[in-house]
Amino acid sequence: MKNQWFLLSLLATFLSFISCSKDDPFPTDEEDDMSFVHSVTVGDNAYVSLFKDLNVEQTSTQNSLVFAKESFLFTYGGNIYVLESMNARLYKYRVENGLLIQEKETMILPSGSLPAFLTFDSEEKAYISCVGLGKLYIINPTTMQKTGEIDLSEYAIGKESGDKNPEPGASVIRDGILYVGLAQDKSQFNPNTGAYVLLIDTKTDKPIKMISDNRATMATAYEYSGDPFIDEKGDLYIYCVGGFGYFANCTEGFLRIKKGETDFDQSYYFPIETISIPDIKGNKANYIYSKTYTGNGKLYGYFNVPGYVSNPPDYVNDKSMQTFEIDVYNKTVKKMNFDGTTGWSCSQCKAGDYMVFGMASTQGTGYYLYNYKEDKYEPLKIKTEGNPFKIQYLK
Amino acid sequence: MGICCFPMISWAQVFLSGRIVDKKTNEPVVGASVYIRKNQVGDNANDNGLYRIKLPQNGTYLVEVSFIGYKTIKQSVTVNRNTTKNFFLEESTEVLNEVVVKASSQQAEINHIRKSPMAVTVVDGAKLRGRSTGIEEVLTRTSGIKVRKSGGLGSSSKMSIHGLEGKRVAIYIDGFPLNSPDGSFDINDIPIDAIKYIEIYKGIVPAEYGSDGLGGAINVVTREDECDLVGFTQEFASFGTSKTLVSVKKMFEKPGIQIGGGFFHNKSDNNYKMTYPVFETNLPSSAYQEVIRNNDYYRSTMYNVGLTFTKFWFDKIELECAFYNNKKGIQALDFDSRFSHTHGTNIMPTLTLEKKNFLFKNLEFKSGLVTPIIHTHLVDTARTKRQWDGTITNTMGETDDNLLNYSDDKQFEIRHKLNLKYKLKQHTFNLNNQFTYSRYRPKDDYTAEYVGFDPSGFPSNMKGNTLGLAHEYSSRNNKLQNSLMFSLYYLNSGIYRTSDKIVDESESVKKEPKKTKINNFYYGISEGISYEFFKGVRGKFSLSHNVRLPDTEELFGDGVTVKPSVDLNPEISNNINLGLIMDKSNFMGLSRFQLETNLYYMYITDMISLFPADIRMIYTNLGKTQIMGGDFDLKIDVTPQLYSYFNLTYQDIRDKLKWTTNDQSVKNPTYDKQVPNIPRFYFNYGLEYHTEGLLGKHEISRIYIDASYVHDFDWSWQMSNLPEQRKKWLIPRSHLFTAGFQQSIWKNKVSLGFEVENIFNKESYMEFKKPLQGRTFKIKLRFNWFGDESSGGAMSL
Repeated sequence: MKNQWFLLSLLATFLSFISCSKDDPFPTDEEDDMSFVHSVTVGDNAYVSLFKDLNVEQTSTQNSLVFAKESFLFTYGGNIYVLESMNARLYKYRVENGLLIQEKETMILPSGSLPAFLTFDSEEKAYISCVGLGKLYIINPTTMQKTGEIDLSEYAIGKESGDKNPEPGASVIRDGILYVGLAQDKSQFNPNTGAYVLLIDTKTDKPIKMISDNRATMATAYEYSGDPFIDEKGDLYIYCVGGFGYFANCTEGFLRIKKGETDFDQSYYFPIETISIPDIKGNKANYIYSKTYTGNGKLYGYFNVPGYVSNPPDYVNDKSMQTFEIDVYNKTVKKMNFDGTTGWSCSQCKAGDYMVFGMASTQGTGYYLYNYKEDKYEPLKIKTEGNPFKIQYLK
Repeated sequence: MGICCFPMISWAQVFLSGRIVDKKTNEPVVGASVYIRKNQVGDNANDNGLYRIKLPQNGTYLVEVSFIGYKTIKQSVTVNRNTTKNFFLEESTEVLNEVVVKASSQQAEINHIRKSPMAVTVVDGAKLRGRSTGIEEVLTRTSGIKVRKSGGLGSSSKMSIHGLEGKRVAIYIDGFPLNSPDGSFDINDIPIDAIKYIEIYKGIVPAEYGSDGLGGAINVVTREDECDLVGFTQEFASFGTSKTLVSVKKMFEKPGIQIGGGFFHNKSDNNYKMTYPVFETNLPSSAYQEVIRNNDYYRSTMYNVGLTFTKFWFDKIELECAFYNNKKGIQALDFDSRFSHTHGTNIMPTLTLEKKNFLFKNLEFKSGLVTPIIHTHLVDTARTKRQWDGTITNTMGETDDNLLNYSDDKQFEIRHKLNLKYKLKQHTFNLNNQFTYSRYRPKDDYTAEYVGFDPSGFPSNMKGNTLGLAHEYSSRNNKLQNSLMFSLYYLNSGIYRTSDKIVDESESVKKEPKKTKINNFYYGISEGISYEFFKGVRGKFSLSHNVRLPDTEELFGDGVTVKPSVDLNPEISNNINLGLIMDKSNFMGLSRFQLETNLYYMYITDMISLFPADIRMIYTNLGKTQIMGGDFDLKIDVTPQLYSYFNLTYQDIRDKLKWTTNDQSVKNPTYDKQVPNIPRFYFNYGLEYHTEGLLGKHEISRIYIDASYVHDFDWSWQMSNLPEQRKKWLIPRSHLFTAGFQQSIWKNKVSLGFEVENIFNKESYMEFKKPLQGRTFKIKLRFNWFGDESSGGAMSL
């Protein structure tokens, strides 16, 4: 019996290897493999499930795993990790027979640690940014055990007045250095001005230095929103969200750390708030909510357009999030030919030559497609049960 | 008597009957109550003033005859087979209203409320005297209502009446909204011995409360004994709980002056054991542990003084002032919080005026003015927190807002209620007006010092006025009753638009955002009819269109995570109730048989719910809910000594919002699904044996057992069919038992009570991940001396 299970698992691995090699979100053969993991929100929960490919017409929550609302998806080595931020839990899953099967026991993080981001260094090492603790947890993702922690309290602005937390958020590893964006809040949603990034040596797990730049504010939006990312040249881009448009002197924009350097590139700064954008009401956008890098300096993401916000704001009906193409090399933005979506329904991922946008737009709730190679749009291809929150392409 | 009588069912037909008339006019006093307390049997005079009571055997009985506006008669009557006895009621020259009638007519008053066209359940306070039970425990065992506690004494609790919950259920004390600075005033703070009765409205709330609401309301009516009295109660319970109550009253008959005072002090450590974590699967086995719930203490103290004049132009002028303060620890539950707490004071001066023949005959005037002055503090300055495994981690406070707080919030309110009642033969006209002014001034210098500005929100003012008109008709024989009510609501409010940019950091000052004014009228209407088909069997039917105005929190937000909501509309519900009540004495060999059942339908629109607003939350009008259900309540006095009850509630609550957005582009994924986090099925049952004379003449003994079952219910929408997943979100069923006994001594001046709650020490929840206490022991001593012995004793049958 044991041998049979072993053979079956070998077969499963083999099949997944074949399908992985295709990288085609529209497969033509009758394979059972799952290409996407996504989460939708309903009420106070997030429902995580798989769906096969972009030929699917409708997704359902019937076989979904249930988590607290602020739960984030990460994939590494064929596994799917769910970071349940509010509940401070980390879960690891594998895909089996179209379902998510939990591997190892659930990892418990300290209450209030608000884990928001997971960066993998290897099969045995990953970093969890604990926004609420001011620490990075080092874990072994294979065993799901904590192996260490890095205390960031000395990098907190305001440590003299007792604030020991620089609020570490999204991070990326380049050339043996972990770049961690720090929100540096005075209080929730109220940042100190300036962009702060902490550099950590992944061999020693010792902080190297904290770099800062006063041209923009909040080098992380607490959770994963598509940055920092590294382009083909090895340059690292980080988007500073300002104060989500709330604070006059907290400016947003992209900053860059060039390959081989460990400081911000003073010759590069790309804010979108100052650009006059045709084809949108008011010709202004005030921050980028989330984004995905597709190569050649191009990103696709959601801009918040104040012109589409009612007076007073109607958070249920206002479709103020608008999809845009961003060119970080030429510092240009272009409105895409999709209608806007609501602030509570905007997810995205890259799948082959496609950008998949999860939106609650004028045609309904679900996934809208854009082939960025051929510049082709497919409105509402897949309907979802629930509001799209996060999506990952598994190939 | 006593135990010997327990199995005896009389074969002989023994009746006491007669006529009750006005001594002066010789007219029948329709509805007057005739009651024999010892046997708990009685009747109300019909349209000819006739009554008839069936008795178990011949003997001498103490008969109490009472009616509102008349002096109560207490007379011993010897009954031999069929005995006729007429009573002549004399109009009372004292203050004449519902509140001042003595305990002897309390049953008649309760019967009168039960017969009204509204779906209402009344809990008789007399039966609770001396019990070690809190009001919440009493309410939760009543049909159609479930109290959802989150912890021990002082913890927040939600009332769920026919599926309406939280703010959708209004709570009143003597018709005034229960108010507290920070919502911490626990209804369980009200001493159970001070309760005359509790009304639970399940569809229409009487216009005289002058308040908005969707039809669910609880009104706790407190006792007002018209005699000198001294009372003292001391109760101790597990987990460091104690309750002390002192009350005194002195009457000066000649000048018509009454002086009264009261004091209570309630305290609990609530340090019971609980399991952590809960409702989770596949955790390392070492993660599960039994922990002590710390920092969940509660202390409350109230002083109350009152001065009443009864011989001025007004029949009653009452000046009262209550001073209340409390302190409460905040236990986070998912970690071991040790420091955060709230404390506050509430000073409530009250002036009440009443006159029976105001301006002209039969016009009754009542006016109540309350001006609460509220001062509260949230203290949350911890920079480290203790995890349940003992490790210490950094934090910015122990509460959810991730801020350090030492707030200094002030609230001032003026509430005035005017009630004019005019009775013309079978018709009663009611005009009610309630005016409310609320001023809120939040402040937090401690937070401002490190954040750079005060995020505690902007000052806000709100004015509201409710005008209610009601017409009640009662046929001469009391068989038919009709009630028609119309309410007009006015809301005037100024809200700061803090969704705009609010901070100019270069100047480090908070810029004042724009203000939006709200000036709107809304209306509510209800119609109810009740008819007595056969003697003791009455049907009820009511329809209502109800309105709940948004409250200050929903309109103004909390300054940090909840934004102000400028264009929030009231919630609307349209309700239909169909009811049947049956009350028969000496029925099928039973001493008394009472049955109440209701079928109800509610359709609620514009439900106010929290919704994500970019990085914060906001209250919006989103949601339509349909509630259909029924409750059934059976009370049987098998003999005058043996009492049993059973009640059951089942309801189907469904989301009826088809589209999330107005343009109908976004389907609501929960359309037609069961609305979660509301108990749907529950029942209660119990047995009580009480008797007089077992341990001495006039002494009362009581022993009882109560059981309460709540079926499991989902905390969140049931969207996944995987059973393992559902376990994480399912609040498990509970079936809990409580038992106790009481004994009076010293001619019923002193009572001793002992009670065990949750006898089998079961783990139970009424809220998600909030474990309730296990087995709890309670012991209570009560002393009561009344100048007029008819007012009762330490215990009551």
